[in-house]
Amino acid sequence: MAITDHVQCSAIMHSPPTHLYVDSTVQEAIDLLVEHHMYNVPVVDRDEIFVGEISARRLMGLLLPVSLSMEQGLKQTSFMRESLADIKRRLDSVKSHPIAPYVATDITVVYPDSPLIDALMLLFHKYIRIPVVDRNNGRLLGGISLITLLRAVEAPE
Amino acid sequence: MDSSAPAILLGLDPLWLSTAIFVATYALLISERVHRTVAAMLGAGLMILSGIITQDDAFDGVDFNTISLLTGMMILVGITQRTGIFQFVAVWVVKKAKADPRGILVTLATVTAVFSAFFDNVTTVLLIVPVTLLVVDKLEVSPYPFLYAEIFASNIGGTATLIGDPPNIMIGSAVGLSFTDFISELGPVVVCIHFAVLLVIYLLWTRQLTSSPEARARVMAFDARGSITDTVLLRQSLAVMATVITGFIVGEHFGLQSGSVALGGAALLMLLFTLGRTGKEQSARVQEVLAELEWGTILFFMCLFMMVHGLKASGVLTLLGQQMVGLTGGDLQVTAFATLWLAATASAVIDNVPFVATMIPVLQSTTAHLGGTEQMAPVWWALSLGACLGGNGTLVGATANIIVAGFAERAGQPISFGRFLLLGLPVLLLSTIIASGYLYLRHFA
Repeated sequence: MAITDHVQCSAIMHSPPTHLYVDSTVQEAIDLLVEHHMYNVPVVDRDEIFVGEISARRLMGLLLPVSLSMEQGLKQTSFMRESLADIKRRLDSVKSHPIAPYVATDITVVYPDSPLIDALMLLFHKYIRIPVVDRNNGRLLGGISLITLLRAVEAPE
Repeated sequence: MDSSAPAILLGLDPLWLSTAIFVATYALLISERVHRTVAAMLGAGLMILSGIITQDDAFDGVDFNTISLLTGMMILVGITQRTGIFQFVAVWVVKKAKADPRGILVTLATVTAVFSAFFDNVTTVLLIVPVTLLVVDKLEVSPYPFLYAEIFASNIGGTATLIGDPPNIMIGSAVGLSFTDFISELGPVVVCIHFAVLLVIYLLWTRQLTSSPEARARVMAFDARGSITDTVLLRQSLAVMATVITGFIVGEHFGLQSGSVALGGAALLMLLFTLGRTGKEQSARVQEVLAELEWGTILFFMCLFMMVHGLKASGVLTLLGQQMVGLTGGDLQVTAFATLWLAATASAVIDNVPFVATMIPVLQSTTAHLGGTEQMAPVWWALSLGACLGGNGTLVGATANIIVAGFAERAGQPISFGRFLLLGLPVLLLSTIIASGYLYLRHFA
């Protein structure tokens, strides 16, 4: 492919992507996030069909009292006093839970034949990484992030 | 009917046509298939398009004093709530109650009632319920008694003042009842009902309302002052609110209507909120405040007034009034109690705003039969008590109920329609009985 050709997502996507299963536990999600320094991880079912994503932000919510992390919850928290023990207690109470309830399923995906510019606009406006899925069967094929893009652009021709 | 009105569509009888439009709009409102603002816009539009009223008539039908009061209070509460005062008071009373669940139940519900009396119920529960959920989480007690108490308190507290609940704003504006009239007439009975309902909740959950010393210590570690985000704005907001309430009380002696007082206060607080900032910052702050206004609600009220005006112009409401006089035999006491119970029942099932907007002209048309404006007073109080307290009957009886149920759901402790009904219905019954007794003792004994 010449560098001047119109490019599709398949040309630069990285694969296979690191992922979790919907029945993985919160503990497994934490381990993966910590190990790979990732801030969001794609989630698939046991047939490798893309389901959604679990984000570090969502896991962060589990460390907070629910009245703070919920929609329309408390914004101003300076009156509170929290200890590390309080935070650990909340984390311990959910560690063995499956991640399914915390998976965001309204994630925009791209297909291998989507124009790359579509993925770039999504990265610019909304996401850190865009999942690339099979147009026909919904299987997770790869991902595109700023890093993937920079590698492709900087790569020698 | 106005002689300048255009010809009625297809020469239909305006009486039947306006009734059909009204019933269809009500059906849309009850079905909740169409947003209430859209339903009211359709109803008002059809009244004009079908020629029952002209556009000028429709505008004349809008009670702009109600609209101004509603808008002014929305601006005032929108700015005041930014200061963190609601959370401050909530945390402060929790600590005053020594983080004892029983004390907290009473103090938080009472704070909810008082805030609901002066600000709108939805804003009050939006700000108090998250603090409540945090506190009960720390205390490791069930949130249910607290959430129920706050729902009931917001509807009961809102009944106490002219500005507490939209039905009161509409009644006060249409009939010329003042802020002082409302608080002196309804204040005492609202206090009785509030504590009677709290007692019921207390007795139902008394055994679960305990917490360990460690859990209480976690809550006692809170520092209420941390809730205040802007002390300058807080002082300004409280000063303007005090001025507005004084304006409500003394304004009537100077021919100043409550709508002007509220909008005047809103203008003053917006001035203080933006003063000394650059043009760009001022513009951003004004936009922020105006974006938070519930324009949908304001439009809903305006269109509702127009639609009801169409019904009034075609003579339907006078006819209903005559029917009512026929049924009650023109007896004031019977009319008052019938109004109270009808309003309580209707408001438990449907939005109390369209109900009260319709009832006001119906009752006004019966004034002559019931002995004049002054004699009618108990009927207006009955309408206010029934319409406001009725909201406690079912989960969909008031917007605040639905907001609290939403919070409960997100906190993993859902409140279902049926479960709410089990408590809401007895509470509605109890409060309407107390209200009946009060009206009787005060006006008919």
